[in-house]
Amino acid sequence: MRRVDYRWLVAFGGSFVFLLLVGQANHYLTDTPLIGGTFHFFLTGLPVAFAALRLSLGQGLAATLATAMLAEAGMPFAPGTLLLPATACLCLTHAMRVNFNRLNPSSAITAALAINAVLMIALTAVSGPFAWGGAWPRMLVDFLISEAAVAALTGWFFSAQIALLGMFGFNLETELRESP
Amino acid sequence: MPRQRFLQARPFLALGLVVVAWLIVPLVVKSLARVSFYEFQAPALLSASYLRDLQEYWALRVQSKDELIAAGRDIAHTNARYELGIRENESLRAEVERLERLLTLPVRAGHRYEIARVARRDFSIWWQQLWIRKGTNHGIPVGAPVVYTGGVVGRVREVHATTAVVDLISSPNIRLAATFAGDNRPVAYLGVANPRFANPRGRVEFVPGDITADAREPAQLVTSGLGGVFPPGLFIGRIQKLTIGPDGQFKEGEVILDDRLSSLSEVAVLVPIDDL
Repeated sequence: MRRVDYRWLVAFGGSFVFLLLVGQANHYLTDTPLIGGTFHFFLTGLPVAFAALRLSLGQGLAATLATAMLAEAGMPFAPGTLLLPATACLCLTHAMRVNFNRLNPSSAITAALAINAVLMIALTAVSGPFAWGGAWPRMLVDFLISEAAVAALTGWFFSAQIALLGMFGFNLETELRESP
Repeated sequence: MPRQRFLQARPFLALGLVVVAWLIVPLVVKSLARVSFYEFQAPALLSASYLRDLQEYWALRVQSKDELIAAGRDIAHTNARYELGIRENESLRAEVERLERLLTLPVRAGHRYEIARVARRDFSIWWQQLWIRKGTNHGIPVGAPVVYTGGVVGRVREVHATTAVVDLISSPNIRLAATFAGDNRPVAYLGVANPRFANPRGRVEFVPGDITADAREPAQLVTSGLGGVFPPGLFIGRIQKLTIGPDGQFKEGEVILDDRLSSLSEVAVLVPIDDL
């Protein structure tokens, strides 16, 4: 009997916990008297990057669709606002990963930075004229700190996801799935 | 070779399929999926909030009795002031009802206060919203006004079984009908993207030309009661500067909101009594 491959579900579970922790961090950062203002981390690009680089197309697509729908459930935008750009980023990265060493940590960081930036730009474009105008400085600062956090957390997140998958019997480091 | 081309094109085929499927799928299915994913994460959200309350409780437990007695004394003074205000409010309310009967005026819609703890604050450049720990199970309707001791918090945007999402008045998608304290001419308040290292901000437009404001005597902006959502007279913010708008007829200016909006832990939802 063929074993059902539910690694996308495990990856989604890890992404869910990660986004929950990010939400809690953003909650505590809303009241930061020491640095005089609010900060907001947007790190949804990390789970998408992991799915694009370490999972097969089908598994990565399932994990990304679930993660994107989870992330946009609390957003004041129409359904699909984050899902479609995230899916596009996943598919594009999956198509391009034959051209570089996807197991290389620097590749992971580059992909995560690019995907996170694209998702932030997509949300900014959808939010329309309200988010533009005099809010450019805040937008730029949030963008930079989010990208810095992505760069700092990529290694940890990828390792955590790999370890989590390993706990459920999916050893990505040694098994060979669909090429490349 | 054709197989290799197919493998290279497969991600784009998958993307095309997802886009087409998303366009075809009915809106009710998308909304159901959205609600399902929201409710999926709601228990985790609430658990984190309850854990924070537990943390605060144990932090208070380690405080000395002297500190607690002093805090209790301060609260008693505040309660005494509020009790006097409540009695005055009740007598004014009775007077208003007597005058409404006497002059056969339409009765104003009443509200009941549903106190709710804030489960999570989420302030980004795209939205400013709170999750509160009450929902349809507590009779919270969509669009209900939300207030706190300092005035207006915002409006309920989404309601689920045990949680609700509140748009803050500093959120870019909030519009309110307002007036200046002591004046009954309506003006428009709107939320704007908030700058860094500053209090939450909003914007006021269509201000009559004779109204002035400066840093020494800031003008107070309050709700007008128009539209029937917010009761009249609730504090919104202060205006320190008004400038002539692009049309040359009305003024506009920046509204400085209370910085306590960034640290709210408890709010009150005004539930219309007619909806009970």
